[in-house]
Amino acid sequence: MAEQTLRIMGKGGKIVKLMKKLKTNPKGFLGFIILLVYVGMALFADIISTHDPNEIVPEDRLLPPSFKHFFGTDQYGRDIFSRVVHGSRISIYVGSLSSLIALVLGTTMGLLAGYYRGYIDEVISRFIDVLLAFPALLLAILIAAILGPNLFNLCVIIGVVYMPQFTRIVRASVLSLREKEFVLAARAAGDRDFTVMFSEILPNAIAPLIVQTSITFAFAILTEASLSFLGLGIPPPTPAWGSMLYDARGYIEFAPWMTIAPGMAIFLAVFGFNTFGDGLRDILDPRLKVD
Amino acid sequence: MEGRLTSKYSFIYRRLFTVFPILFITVTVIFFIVEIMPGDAAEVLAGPGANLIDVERLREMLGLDLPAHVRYYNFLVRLSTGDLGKSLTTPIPVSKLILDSLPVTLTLAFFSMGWALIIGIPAGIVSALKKNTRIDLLVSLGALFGISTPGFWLASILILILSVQLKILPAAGFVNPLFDPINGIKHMILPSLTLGLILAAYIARITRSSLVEVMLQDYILAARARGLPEKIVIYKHALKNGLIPVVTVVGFQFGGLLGGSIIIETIFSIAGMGKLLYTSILNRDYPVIEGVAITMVVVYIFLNLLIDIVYMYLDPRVRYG
Repeated sequence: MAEQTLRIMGKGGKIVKLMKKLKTNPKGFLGFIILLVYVGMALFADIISTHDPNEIVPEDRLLPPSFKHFFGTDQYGRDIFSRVVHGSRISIYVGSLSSLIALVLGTTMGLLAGYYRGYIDEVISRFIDVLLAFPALLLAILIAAILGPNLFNLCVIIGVVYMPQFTRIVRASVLSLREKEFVLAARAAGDRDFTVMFSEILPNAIAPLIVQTSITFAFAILTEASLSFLGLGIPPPTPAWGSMLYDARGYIEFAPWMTIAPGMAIFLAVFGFNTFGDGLRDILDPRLKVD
Repeated sequence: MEGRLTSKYSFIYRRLFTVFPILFITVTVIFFIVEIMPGDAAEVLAGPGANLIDVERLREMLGLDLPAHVRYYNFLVRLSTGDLGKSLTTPIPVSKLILDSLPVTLTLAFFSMGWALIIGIPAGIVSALKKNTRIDLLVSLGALFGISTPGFWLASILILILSVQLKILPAAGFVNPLFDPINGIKHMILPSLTLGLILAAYIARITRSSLVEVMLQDYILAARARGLPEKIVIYKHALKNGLIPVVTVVGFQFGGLLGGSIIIETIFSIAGMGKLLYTSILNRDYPVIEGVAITMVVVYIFLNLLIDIVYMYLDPRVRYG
């Protein structure tokens, strides 16, 4: 497993190699394409959208989809297509920042716990146990009630909620590697603990970490949308998909398009990251692929 | 045999002992989370626009002016007698609110889990046995769809189609299925189907991957080599071991059900614990937030404990050293 990972992630065009492998994996490739579309949408939102996403046009409210308004308009006459396009920025931002927070915090804690063991491991592992004792959404809602809704807080909340999986992955792989010859050699050669952890041990845990990051990205988008849908996430008038669905709640009978478009956007984005994660797992971690 | 039994019981004891510290820490964490939420009970009780002197007097009356460690101690003493305090926005004690809403949420969870198992397990089995065929691809894609669908959106779509357009099922409310089975089940279908379909996706995925792995084991090859009919190989040999990991997933997913209930109960106006939590957060009813959070965590922790014990009985290969 370690050797396999090293070979894939080793020096010399690792990204290129990964992309080549991705092409042969239909699921991963499909996910990758969806992901690219969303990133493109987020980058060029101003060019792609047909209206100002926050422009209120009272006489145009609750219009069904048409050539002028591809996905119709909401109760304030705002163009839903443009809001969905701009919403991708929020989702990509939340997805990236929260999975980055989960990755960095979780990995660091996993390294410390697995490498030093003893009471450091005890403290970190119990902390993770406590986090896992909470249903994820419950924990997110409780912290959201403390910090108050804003974009950055939301990313911190989601990052913390999904951190335990990273800690567990890294801790397990450190425990299995810390007595291996190459680690012992590095330590005997006088490398500092920090160097051993980050440049000897960590590269061997990269594969499952990449997969976990992709899955966390998907979960982060879903969790942000759930919180925003409850009115505990991104405050209006920011065009976030979850908040749009929150707005649409009272209009499901008269204006179903208000519900359909943002929901579809969330679904496709999450589907993209999940399939991408699945594909990456097949490629990077053949041990987990059973067939 | 003797030795194995003792080790089994000692595992249960040890597992029980690890539960209590976790329980204690989580309860403490919840106390402090509610503690640092902006505002306090006195402000809520005094209402908006109350003058500061009144708020301060209320604070003294409620004991909120005491230092945090004293209040924490009082909270633990109260909790140990099962007293969860009084709601700030209703005249009902928190424990009563929870006792009324817990069965509703558990009913919802029970129905959802039912859907999930009925749909998820057969789908996973078919997918594994017909590995790499079109059916397998269909199930895998369906499962990916399932885990990618936001529950609250699926709920809206189901309401739109089945309640608004076709008018087959009620869009909101809860009727106890024990008192009025037909109406109760009718009201339960949409919310439980929403939660259950998503869960079914996770269960189908784990069933498939576990069964695919089992089918490659030597003992399956041996059973086939002995000339046993394929049906017996699958039902008597493969499924027995292949379904074990599903048990653990069910435990994990129960957390998802409790979390999901917050959203689903709010959408379908079901008076369960999830809706109770949501309204108490909106009303800043701190004792209720605290009580519901503690109940959810306790239920979740004990359910996982139960599952661990069941798992141990199902899978004698697992050694708990």
